Amino acid sequence: MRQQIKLDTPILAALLGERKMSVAITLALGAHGAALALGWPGFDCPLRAATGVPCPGCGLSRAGQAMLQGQWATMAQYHLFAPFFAIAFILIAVSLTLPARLHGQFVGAVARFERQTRLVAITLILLVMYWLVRLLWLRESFVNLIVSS
Amino acid sequence: MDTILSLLNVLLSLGSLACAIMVVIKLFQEKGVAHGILGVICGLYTFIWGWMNANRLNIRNLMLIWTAIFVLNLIVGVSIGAFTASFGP
Repeated sequence: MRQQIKLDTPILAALLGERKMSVAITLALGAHGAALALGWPGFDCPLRAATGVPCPGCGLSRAGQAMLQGQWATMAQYHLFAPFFAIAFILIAVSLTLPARLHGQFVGAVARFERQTRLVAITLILLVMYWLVRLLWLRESFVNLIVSS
Repeated sequence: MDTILSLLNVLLSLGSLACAIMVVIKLFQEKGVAHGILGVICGLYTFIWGWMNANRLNIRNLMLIWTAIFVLNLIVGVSIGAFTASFGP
């Protein structure tokens, strides 16, 4: 079966629409962030742990931490896309606080926004390209930064 | 001791990667390319999605194995850290 990337398919709205998934993501990311902040081991990237090669999302947690502390240069060093994921996380957390009717409207609004702008799908594609650039042309500094810290 | 723990760590990491790949393949098949890419980017999302759909997709055993590997890997990682702190690298 051949699948195509449909850029106007809502991705974030699909996540927001599943309340149980949103709750699980919020709790898991909260626990992961808290563990890292305390210096404990968090959820390790399977690709990096097994092969030493960072995945496209490696560095996002540390970039998020740096962003929360206002260290923008450090954030950019670890991962340029951290603000996008922070916004997505905030939207997921906000959607959980809404009553059912407002939640439906909120998810609908996000889905419309995604269909019109294709922002989430384009961001994911750009993120993979960003990862390839770092891996192919900036390999040494990228791997050292992610693996050694 | 340190070598044994490191070897165990590598084996568990390979097992974790194998489980992650199997769940990501399911994710691509079930939810399409975009969610599949999201699964590759965020292993935690793949892990959660796998557990939430474990019964429907009949991957409960796979998720149990992945979870066990994750917990064991955490224990081994902490043990390596403690061993290195006590006896040096």
